[in-house]
Parts: sequence; C-alpha cells; structure tokens
Amino acid sequence: MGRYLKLYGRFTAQYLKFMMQSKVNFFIGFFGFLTVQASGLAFLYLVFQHIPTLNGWSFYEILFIYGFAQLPRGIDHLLTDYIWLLGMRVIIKGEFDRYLLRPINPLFHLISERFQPDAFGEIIVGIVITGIAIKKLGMEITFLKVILFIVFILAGAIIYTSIKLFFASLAFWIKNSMPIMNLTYAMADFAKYPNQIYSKFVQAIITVIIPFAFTAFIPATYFTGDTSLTLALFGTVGAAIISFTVAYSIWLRGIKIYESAGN
Amino acid sequence: METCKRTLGVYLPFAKSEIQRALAYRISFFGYILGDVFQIVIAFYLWSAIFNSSSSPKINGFTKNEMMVYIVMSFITAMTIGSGTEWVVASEVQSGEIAINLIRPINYKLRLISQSLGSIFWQFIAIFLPIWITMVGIRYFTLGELPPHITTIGTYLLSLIFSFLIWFLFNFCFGLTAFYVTYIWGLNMFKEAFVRFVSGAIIPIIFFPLWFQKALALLPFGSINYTPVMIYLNKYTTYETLKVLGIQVLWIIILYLFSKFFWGKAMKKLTIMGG
Repeated sequence: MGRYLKLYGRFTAQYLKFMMQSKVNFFIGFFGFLTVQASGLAFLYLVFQHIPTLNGWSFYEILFIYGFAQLPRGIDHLLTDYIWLLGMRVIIKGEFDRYLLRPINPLFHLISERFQPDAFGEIIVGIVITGIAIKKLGMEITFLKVILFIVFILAGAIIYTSIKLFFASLAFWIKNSMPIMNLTYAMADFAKYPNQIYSKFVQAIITVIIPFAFTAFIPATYFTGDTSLTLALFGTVGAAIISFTVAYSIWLRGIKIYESAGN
Repeated sequence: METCKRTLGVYLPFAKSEIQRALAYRISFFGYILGDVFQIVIAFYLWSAIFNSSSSPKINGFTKNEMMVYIVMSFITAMTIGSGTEWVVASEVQSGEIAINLIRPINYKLRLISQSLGSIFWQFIAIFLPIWITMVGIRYFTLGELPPHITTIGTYLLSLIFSFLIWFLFNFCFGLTAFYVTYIWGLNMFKEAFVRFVSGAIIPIIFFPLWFQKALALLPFGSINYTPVMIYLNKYTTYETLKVLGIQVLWIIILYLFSKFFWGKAMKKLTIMGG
C-alpha cells in the first residue's frame, strides 16, 4: 500500500509538471467544466422563479442534491480519467501490453497515467453549492454527519469508477467500448435531481442496474431527512462494494483474454 | 452552368465521403445519440414536475405541451446542425495539414461546407426524422394533435438552414483558434456548454432576466437554436418571423466577413510558423 502511494505521488508529480507547462490549458479545462455545471444551476434558478417547490422539494434542497452529485463525480474524474482511454484507444492500439509488463497492479498503473485537474471545475462547484445549501437549509453539522458525508462521497466515487471500469473493460471483447461508456455515463445526470420525478421504471434502472442513484440522490437526501440512515449507509456502501467487485472481475477476465495487437 | 457542374463534381465527393464515414461508424454514432437522448428524458421529467408544481398552467407563455415540443425540437435542431467543423479545422491546424490545403486547387471553406452538408444530411435522416416522426406520432395518438401547418414546417426548415450556416461559420472561426490555443478539447467543452445555454437549448430564452435577453439580442446565439424552434411552435407573428429570419441572414453575413478576416490573420501566422 505504501509503495503504491509513493508510486502514485511520483506519477502525479510527473503529470503535474507536464500540466504546468501550460497553465492556460488548466484554466480552459477548469472553466469548461465549470460552465457545464453553472448552466445546470442557472436552469434550476430560472425555473424556481416560477414555482415555490419542485414536487415538494425546495430550491436549496435541490441545490444540495445537485452540489452533492458533483463531488463523487469530480473525485472520480480527477483520479481515474484514463479509464476512458482504455475504452477508446488502449486496446485497439495494442498499448495494453505495457501494463502487463511492469511489476505493479495493472489497474493501478492504468489509473495513474493521468491526473485530471479539469475535475476541479466540478469539485469546486460541488463544494460551493453544497456549502451554500447547507447554510441556507440551516443543516446541523455534527461529527457523525461529517464522517458520513465523507464516506458517502468516497463510496459514490467508487461507484463512478466501477461503472466506468466495467464498461471500459468490455473493450477487451469489443475493442472500442467508448459508445457504451458514453451512454451509461450520461445516465449519471439522472441522479442530480430528486428521483421521485421519474417513472418507477427509470428509478429501478438507476438504483439497481446502473446504481447512479447511490452517488447522489440517496446519500444526499439522508442529510435533508428524506432517506433513512440504514438505506443511505448500507445502500451506498453496499452498491460501492458490489459494483467494484463486479467491475474488477470483468476487468480481470478481460486481461486474461487480451491478445496484443502489436507485432 | 458548366462551372456549376464542375464545382459540384469537385465538392460532392466530400459530402458523400462524410456520409459513408458516418455509416461506417454508425454503432458508435448511435451510442452517442442515445447518451444525449437521456438529456431529453431528464428534461421531460423535470418539466413535467415543474408544470405540476406550478400554480398556473402557463409559464412564460408556454403550456406544458408546448414545452415538451420545445425540448424535443430544440434538441433535434441542435443535433442536426452540428457537423464537427471545429474539430476538422482544429486538427488540421494542429497537424499542419492545413498548409497543404493552401496549395490544393480547391477552396478550403467550400470543401468544409460540403463535408458539413454531408454530415447534416445524414443527421437529418438518422436523428431528426426518426425523433420528429415519433414525436408527431405520439402526440397524434395521445393528444390527437396534428403536426404544424406545412408553411410553418417550411419556414422552420428554412430557418434551420440559416442556423446551420451560422453555426458552421461560428465553428470555422472557433477551429482556427487552434492557432493560438492547444487545448481545444477543453475550450470546446466551454463553447458547447455556453452556446447550449445562451442559444435556448436548455431553457427558452424568454425565461432569462430582461437585461440578459437584451444582451443576447446583440449576439448570434439565439439565431442558432431558439429562432427555428420558436418558429416551429408558431410563437411569432408573420412580421416577427420575417424579422427573426432577417436577423439570421444578417448574422450569416457578419460571421462570413468575420471568418474571412480571421482566416486571413491565421494564414499570416501560418507563414511565420512555416518559416
């Protein structure tokens, strides 16, 4: 574990050096993701000029869920962005050989290829929005709640990573899994809004099949008092464990059948 | 006539190859489209909840039904007119390929527009028509609502072509920024999110505060999406329709001149790099 942390530090330092060559690029990526999130917020703000509550949810409650949703997403984006390249390029180009040749865990090696500072756009929006919402809603901050908040966000990030890894690993069979990754990743947006607005069918999909509901809506609404602690805690942590186990075993199977495209 | 035929002979293959390329990659194409379709689904549920929570049946002059049509039409309008010209230009700038285009006996912009026409033709067939027909069908069978009058559809299509030209010219200029910026992916992210919002593709422009609407009236973005969709929804009087179409034409002219100027500047920069 210590060795891996040290290695990750080295990899990241290398990548940051590369990033610092162009600070402009950092700001461009940052503002890119910031704008995406800001437009979603502006939409909510404009809509709430016309309605007192959305299906019984106040503006700040919605804001809290929305802001919360950015945090696991941003953390996953920051650390494991290279998984996207597994789906779209690494297998096709025969680049995967490299990961099998080094004496470190291949998944760890793949992930440490990239540290993605663009994600700060999401993380900062998330922190600011949840902060404002917590204040406006007058939420009580206790030690237990802070711990739970951290646990939920980490579990949420693991769910994101697992879903990405699962669909990216399909590339071992179908070579380019980018389209299906893109498709499933887009479903994360469902979790940014209260799930009751969707039909039962949609709710079932985002809770049980592609469990994005556990990255945002379910854990976030524990803090607004709408979800029980049992469901929030066991659901979120359980979903994280199950999805990671499934994704990692698919990844391992994929490695087994991997055939290099090289010469 | 002869020149016309010759021009067509030169540029038509670019459009054709673009369609063939799209057909070759149709699985990934539909993967992307479906991902975007979720955006409509979410918007659909959100607006349903919004209208159910509202005390009045109309919000800013939109009924729930009109809003549903607005969402779908603004989505398929945006999906149809985008042709990725910015990526073609940016990648040719970055790889240096653009230099070769100067010695080729073809007009670079005409080549790009032919390619774009190829992809919007494909997008019209593969995205616009299926979604539009589904929407009209569902609305006919559930609400007994007929599609808009043929002149409205015709005016919409005319406006759609103008939107395409505005968006094409805008993206052409955007692609040329690759001369100055290396991280086009990030910049494009910003552009897409920004334009989506200010062109009315997320929420109708009429929902914006007045000062913001006034500022937007001086910019081309509303002409890209809001104008054709509002025409489709029959929200304009004849006079207003002519006015917004006129504004679209005006923007085509302005952006054309701007792209010429920008291209000239970029070419100067290219010579410097070429040494």
